[in-house]
Amino acid sequence: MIKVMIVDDEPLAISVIRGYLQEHKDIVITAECLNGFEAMKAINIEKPDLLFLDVQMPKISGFELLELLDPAPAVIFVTAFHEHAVQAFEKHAVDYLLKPVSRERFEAAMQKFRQHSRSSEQPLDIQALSKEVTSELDRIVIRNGSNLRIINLSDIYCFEAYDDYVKVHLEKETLIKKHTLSALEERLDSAEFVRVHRSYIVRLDAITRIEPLGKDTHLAVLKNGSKVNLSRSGYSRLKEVLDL
Amino acid sequence: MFNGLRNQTVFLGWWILWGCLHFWLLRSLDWDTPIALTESVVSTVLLSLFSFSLSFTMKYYRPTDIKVLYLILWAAILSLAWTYITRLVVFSLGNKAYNLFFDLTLPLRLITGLLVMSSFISILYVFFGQLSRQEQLKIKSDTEKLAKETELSALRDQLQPHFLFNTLNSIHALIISHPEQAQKMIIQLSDFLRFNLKTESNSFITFREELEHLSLYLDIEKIRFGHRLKVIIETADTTQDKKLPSLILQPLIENAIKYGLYDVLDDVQITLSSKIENGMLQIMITNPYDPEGRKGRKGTGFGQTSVRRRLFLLFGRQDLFKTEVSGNLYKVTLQLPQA
Repeated sequence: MIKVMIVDDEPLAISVIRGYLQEHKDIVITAECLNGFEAMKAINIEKPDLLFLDVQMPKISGFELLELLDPAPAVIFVTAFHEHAVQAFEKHAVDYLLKPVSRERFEAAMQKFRQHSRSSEQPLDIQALSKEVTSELDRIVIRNGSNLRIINLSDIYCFEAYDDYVKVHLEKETLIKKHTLSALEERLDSAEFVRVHRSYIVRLDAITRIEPLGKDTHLAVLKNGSKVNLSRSGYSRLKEVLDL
Repeated sequence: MFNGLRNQTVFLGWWILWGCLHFWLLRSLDWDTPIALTESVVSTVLLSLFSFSLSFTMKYYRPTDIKVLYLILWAAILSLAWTYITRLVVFSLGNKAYNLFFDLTLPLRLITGLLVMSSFISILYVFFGQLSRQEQLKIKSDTEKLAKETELSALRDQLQPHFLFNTLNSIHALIISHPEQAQKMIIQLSDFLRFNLKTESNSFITFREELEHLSLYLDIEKIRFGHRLKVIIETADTTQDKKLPSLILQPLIENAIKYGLYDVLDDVQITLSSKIENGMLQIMITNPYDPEGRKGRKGTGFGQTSVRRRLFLLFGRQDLFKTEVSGNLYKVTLQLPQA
């Protein structure tokens, strides 16, 4: 049996997908969720094979939910997004369905999923997708066990690369998120955040002073007292942004 | 230039004075009255006719960037013609002494003609230049007015495509499970769209009409989010017949619902209330809000910007729209001056 979950904040929208799925005898709907929080808990328990996912939802968006899932199940987006976003979906997701969804279009998506799961191609690149579909990042969502933390960018002091993960340094604590530093850099406002080192992105307003370290090297001291090494190019980038 | 009676009088008076002076000058040089009269009348009439035709020409043919040299050349040609024709007429009187005097004063006459004509052309040039600047200003203000109207209707016509497609999706779902409700929803959507289309962009409607329209929208949203959306409308009776710009509340209610629904997980209560304050219609809309969740978000969305802009374009004031946060409530207040 294929385990399927439907996530949408409108019960009527869920009922459409449920209705279409009735024809598929090998599929069982393990959960229907009205928001990302419920969905995350249910996904951890049920481990679905396929997710029908709306994008605009309370508290956390469909993209933010997917960023928290590791590994992410196969996803078919069901959205009312404009057409300009369609290309991005086409490139990165198993499939996307535009509301209202016709039965023909739905069956085509299911067929695509069945082929997809047999060949098990490359997984969904959610970072690339959310970069193209949503605008500049204004907050990040971090999973902490079964809890979700929504962190405003203004509370972040610095990002640090950590293999495939990123350490998010706040004033007093450090959280970990699955995201690459370079992908993050592209989605941050360059007037607010500066890549000062291969491994560090610093929020400008969190810097109190810049100190010389060696003959040619510098470090930045943040408002919470922590210190960040600056690479030579990072230092000149910083000088440029700060107009020194 | 000769449209106004005042201008015509000045023009005529000026040339009569000129003719009299001419006559007086010739008489003071002891020429006979017939000769003096003939010359002064012929020369003045010619000069005035030339200037009249000049102003007539320049009225329709605007020398945009006329060169000084052309001006002088044109004045020279006119003064030559003027002197030549006058000479032809006065010579027909057959007074030899006078003919000699005329030819002796020829340079003086030419120079006078040149000066009169060139100064007249200059005056016309400046006058029509100013006129066209005035026209340009008028065109500019007309264009601005048109742009303003276009902007107003564009701001008003903003219909969220998300809303339309999500509503169609809901109807799609209801057709199978609750056909009667689906029918009802299609009627509501049609009425809603029809109102949006038929309302003129700058028109004012009563608060009552705006609320009726809003209730169509709210009924649709309640079908979509009925499981967690509650809308409370409390309006004072005295406010019902007050006027407001059509569809000004819809983007604000849209925002309240959007932020209410997407900022919190629990049930969402939206309130809309009204009262009269300082002779103005005051409308308040509140929605629940998560201070933590929204703090870092940028901007307040297109809805608020468009309402603010519309109020400014219609009333010329920036202080009619206010937002505030109290606890877990987000509140917008709208002040609408009554004509």
